[in-house]
Amino acid sequence: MIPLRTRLAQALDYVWGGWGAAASLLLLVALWEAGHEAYGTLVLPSPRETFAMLWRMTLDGRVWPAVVETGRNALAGFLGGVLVGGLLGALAGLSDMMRRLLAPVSTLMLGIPAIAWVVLSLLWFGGSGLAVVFTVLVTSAPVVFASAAEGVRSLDGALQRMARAFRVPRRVLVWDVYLPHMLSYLFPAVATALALSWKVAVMTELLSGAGGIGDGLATARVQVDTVKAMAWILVVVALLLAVEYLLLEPLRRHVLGWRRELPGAETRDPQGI
Amino acid sequence: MSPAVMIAQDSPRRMSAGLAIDAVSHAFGPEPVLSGLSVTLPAAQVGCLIGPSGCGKSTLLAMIGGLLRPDQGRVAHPFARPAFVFQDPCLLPWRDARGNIAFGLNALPMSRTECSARADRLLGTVGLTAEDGEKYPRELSGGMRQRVALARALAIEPDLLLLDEPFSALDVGLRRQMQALVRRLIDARGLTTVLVTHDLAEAVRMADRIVVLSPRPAHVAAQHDIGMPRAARDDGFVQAEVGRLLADPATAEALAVEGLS
Amino acid sequence: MKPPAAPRFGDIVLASAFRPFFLLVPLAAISAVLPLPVIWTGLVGSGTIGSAAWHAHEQVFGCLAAAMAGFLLTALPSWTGTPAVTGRPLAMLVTVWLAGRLAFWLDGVLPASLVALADLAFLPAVFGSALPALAKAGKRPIDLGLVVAGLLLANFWFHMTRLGALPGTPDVAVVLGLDLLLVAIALALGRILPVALGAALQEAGLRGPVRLSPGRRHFAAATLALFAAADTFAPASPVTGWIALAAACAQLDRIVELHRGAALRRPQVLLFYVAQAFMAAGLAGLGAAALGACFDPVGLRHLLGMGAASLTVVTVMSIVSLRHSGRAFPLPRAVWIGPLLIIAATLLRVAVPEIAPEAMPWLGVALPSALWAAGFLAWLVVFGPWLVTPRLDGKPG
Repeated sequence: MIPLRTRLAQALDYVWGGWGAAASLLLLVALWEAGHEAYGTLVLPSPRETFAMLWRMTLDGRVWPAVVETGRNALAGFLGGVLVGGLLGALAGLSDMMRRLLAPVSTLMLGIPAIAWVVLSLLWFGGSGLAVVFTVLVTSAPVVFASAAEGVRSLDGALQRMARAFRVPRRVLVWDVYLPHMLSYLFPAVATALALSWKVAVMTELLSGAGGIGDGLATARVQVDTVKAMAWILVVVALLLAVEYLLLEPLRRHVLGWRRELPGAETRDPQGI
Repeated sequence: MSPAVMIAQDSPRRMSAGLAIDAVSHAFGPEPVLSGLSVTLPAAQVGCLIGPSGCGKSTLLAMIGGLLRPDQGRVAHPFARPAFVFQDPCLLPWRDARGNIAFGLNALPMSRTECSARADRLLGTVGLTAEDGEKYPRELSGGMRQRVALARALAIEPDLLLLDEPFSALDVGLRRQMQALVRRLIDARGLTTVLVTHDLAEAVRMADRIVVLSPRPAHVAAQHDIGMPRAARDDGFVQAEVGRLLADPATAEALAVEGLS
Repeated sequence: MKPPAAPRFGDIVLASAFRPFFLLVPLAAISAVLPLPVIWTGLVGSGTIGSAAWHAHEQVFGCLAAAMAGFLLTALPSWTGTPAVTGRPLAMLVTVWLAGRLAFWLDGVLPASLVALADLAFLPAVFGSALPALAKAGKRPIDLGLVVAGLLLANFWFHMTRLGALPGTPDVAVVLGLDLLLVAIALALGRILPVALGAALQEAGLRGPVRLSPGRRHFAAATLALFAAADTFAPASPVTGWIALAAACAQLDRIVELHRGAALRRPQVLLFYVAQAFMAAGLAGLGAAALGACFDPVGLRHLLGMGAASLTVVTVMSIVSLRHSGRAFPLPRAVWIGPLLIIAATLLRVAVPEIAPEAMPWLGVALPSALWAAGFLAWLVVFGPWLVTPRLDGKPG
């Protein structure tokens, strides 16, 4: 087991790494400021105006409900997508027949642009939250499907033979062999699906007027209020960054720590064996 | 020669309690793999299965290890704790070297501290440092990975060591190094060992008894015992002995399929 | 027996570039603050150049430039294996530098063009002396060479604005000089930190390799270079403000590599760490000021010049004096005295104008000047004897 001190040190190093990210983002803000100075507020409001607007909107109580609404829709669709994609993927991994049946469908679904799903779900579900959930579900499920299928298909391999040869108990087989193996396949896909779900959710809300951050953006567009629009974009970006750096990246380090690359190490192979 | 081996060879009681494979036949689907194969190996000796590739050596080894039941015949031995080393190290990529060495201990009633203490000890036994113990398999070289696999097998303190071409993926220098290491460990512990190989020189270097298998379906084509103590077998002896074995027509014929180098 | 000792002293001091220059740096540091209390307390009127510009120029192009020359002309040859500047050429270099300082002291008496000529000779001479090493060095220390060239141009610009030949003000030019020095520090630390951190790990009894990522170093240096450019072309713009904030974050990002338990408490690491923290604070403050916060920019420049640049320079001087006089780590305990006095001076100079502007002449200028001078004197007392005695291991240099 890793001692607590080491864990704390690692956590500090991770949090400290935020300075590097902050430096990069601040340079982008500098570029934004330069764009503002060149083109004026109507095209590109200044960062400080935008931050001030965001602050005002937050105080007015408009931001938090929208975040909750978008988050709820995106998360529901994401979980549904992971469930559906994961289950069907596992089926396809277990049975060759199911693979033949499902793989082309999944490829097709992956190819349909998210915006097409938005149009369809608006026609089917109207301007309700359900349209958002459906769109997110249907765009994230194929992403998970392929990796779940591949993970299950490659479960029964040399490692399992080795584990049987050492006569380890079933608990160890599941916990030490199957689970890490599946995670190494599923995690990247699930992370991609989560990041995707936010963007698709906001896009659907924007076109459907179903509330949430997208709705705020749509309103700002109608009012030709660039400052407000930028403030809403900041909200989306902040949420994306929070999900990536506070949730996904720490998880990734924890789950896939064994994949750490050495300088000059060979290119990664998903199985590593 | 280490004392352990001498005692084992001199004691008829221990010799009787060895490995006995009696008229074993096996088929995968319609294709027969083993046909009426019989081999014995006294305890604390190294037996070497050699034969052309695909002749069923690994199948036989799986039967000895209890992973596979033969269709006909009987595999009998008194050993309770066999341990495998495969050609591919088969390490868990998500466990560091220490965790991989301790993997087999999951099957034994053992506390965590005991496990890690034993893993630490074995790191040293196979010539790895404590720092190597914290590395993940992808950070280890091929030879180091195979050392970890060997340590994992030794960790469960096996009474029967099953080596399935463990050195064939290594380059010549590393292979010699690993052979010497395994030879030393086997002699020191008096371990009954079955080694599968397709390299006659390796067999001569390692084995007390060499069992030559015929091409599929395999039966015993020839059997040779080597009396010289392992530690005393130098390159000259190995070369001469390989020549002597190949002079035996049955051996030469069984191995000719591969075109021995 | 006395007479043979005198030429021998000269030989020792001129055996390597760091010896004479590091002996002169404390004197330059002290002389650059000498007139300040007199001016600020209103006892005497200012000179013709403007007292702020005079003081800043002497600190940047007098004191810090001498330290850099001593460091570069010692370090570059040893990195590249080219012959070092010693003996008579080194004596010439020192004389040129002294001429520049003398001219600045006599500014007002001498014509401005003559002062410019005397002062502008030094950096090209350093650059020329470093050229053989730079030419042979391949890619790596070229970046340092470019920064020296930039400093040279900044100093040229300083004098030309004063003579009316180029647009701009002396203050902006000298600020560019300081910004470039920060870039040079960011680059040079990439060479010094591995040595310092390695020794610190050993002293602390820690195992493990020295891991310093080149990416972090380059990022820190690049943001500083960008800041230098923005600071020159658009000094008060909010764009510069954001860049300054970014540069501050990049410096903070970099020092995570020094978080190595007890090794961080060794002087050769902790002093760099504190200097980097000062640099980040100064940059962040300048950024905030450009974005509308009420900070005194002059105070923040002192945070960069005193806290970041001088503290780094004193630490580098300590390490170079140790190593190039044939000694091994650890540094003597007395190494802390000078830096601590300089840190105290920095904090006073930066805090007093924010907290108690009315106390500025005595608490914000006179006292920090005294502490600063004491700090450099302390350094000279500790390390000076090493500079005037031969190498312990008998090697040349």
